[in-house]
Amino acid sequence: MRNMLFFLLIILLADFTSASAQEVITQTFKDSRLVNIQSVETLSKRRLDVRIGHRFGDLLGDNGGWSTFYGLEQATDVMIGAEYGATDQLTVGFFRTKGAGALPDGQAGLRQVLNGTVKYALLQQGKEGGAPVSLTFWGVASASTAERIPDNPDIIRNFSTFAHRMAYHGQLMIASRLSDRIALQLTPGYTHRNVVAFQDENGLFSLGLGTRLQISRVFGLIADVTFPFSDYRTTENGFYPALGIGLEIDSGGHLFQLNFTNATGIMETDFIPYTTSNWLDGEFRFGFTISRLFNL
Amino acid sequence: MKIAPLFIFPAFTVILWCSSCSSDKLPEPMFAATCTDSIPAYDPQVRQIIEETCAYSGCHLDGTAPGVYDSYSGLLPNIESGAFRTRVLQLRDDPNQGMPPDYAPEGRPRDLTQEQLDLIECWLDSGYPE
Repeated sequence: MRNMLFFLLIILLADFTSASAQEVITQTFKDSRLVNIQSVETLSKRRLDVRIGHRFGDLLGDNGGWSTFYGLEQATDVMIGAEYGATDQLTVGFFRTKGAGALPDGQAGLRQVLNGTVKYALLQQGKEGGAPVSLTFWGVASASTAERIPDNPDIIRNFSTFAHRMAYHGQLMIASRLSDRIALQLTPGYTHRNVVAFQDENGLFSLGLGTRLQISRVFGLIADVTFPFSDYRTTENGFYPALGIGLEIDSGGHLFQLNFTNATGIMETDFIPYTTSNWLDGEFRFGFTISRLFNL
Repeated sequence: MKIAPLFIFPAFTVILWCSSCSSDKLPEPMFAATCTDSIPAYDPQVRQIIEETCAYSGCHLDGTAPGVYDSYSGLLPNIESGAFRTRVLQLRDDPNQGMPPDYAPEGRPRDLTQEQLDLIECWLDSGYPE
């Protein structure tokens, strides 16, 4: 089945390569990320995108409310880093995240994480005719730089081998701009963690859905949701799909994003396996991303 | 300005990282004899006790007493050295050595409840999960 899908993809790519000379839609989304998931957008050649992302604590629920000033006194996850357009198709990046995910029983995922990212635009949607969708691959390799705890073999931070510090994620993004205002994206992905708790699974397929609605020249509404496919990751076991909604503000050189999400981690290797917060219990948080583009 | 070469580093890092793949699982943790039903975690069960009884201004928060107990990693050195178990569990009846001490400020607990002590003992015996 997987081989068939792969061949279909190759045929699709071959079919539309001949149409590459046609005019293409260059901006399906405004930014390289929606709230939680990546978008199909790559940077133009020699553009640098410096990004800072932040997720506060739970707005409501047991750990939120007045005592934490609705989560604003807590930093659940923080990301800082940059991406660079090596070519118009290839974007590479390097980010540092705090790391935030944990299993419902408290088993923590990777912390103090360095993330190397690669994004490659395989296909761009044609304006009239040509490809009906844009297709982009994105991959991340995450490595924890946290100090190991050698005396406790029951926790991930035991790091008995270097490989246990690593987790990876790869995804294909299939997006279409349906009109001048609306864009949709489908994101099948695969996450692999080198070490997991005894009841968990190393490999994890997931499907993300994202959308963007341009509401004025400056403002855009964005939303995405990611479903991991796993017998273990059920709501009965304390896992929930990562659901984010946000507002994008394009001020020219900067792009601000204000968002609310139940995901604690920012990187895919974190929020896909470890989203255990429930919107309906008030366990969602305020967050923001600032993106500044430079021409080099 | 050409900065593309700078990004060769993350690209190589990705390749290096991808070359170290494994599919390992942690051992199933032993259910400690001191636990009754489930194993508590630092967050939220132990953290709540710590914040109420240890991590406040003038004690294990601002450097007045050894250790800044505002996070799991702040607590870890005293757990790994055994000092936390000794002072909280073994010396709990000692008015000065037992934590929290009898000289704790007004409004702060000077003793942990038996339920809190049981929870901390189970947590420590279970490998103090985060």
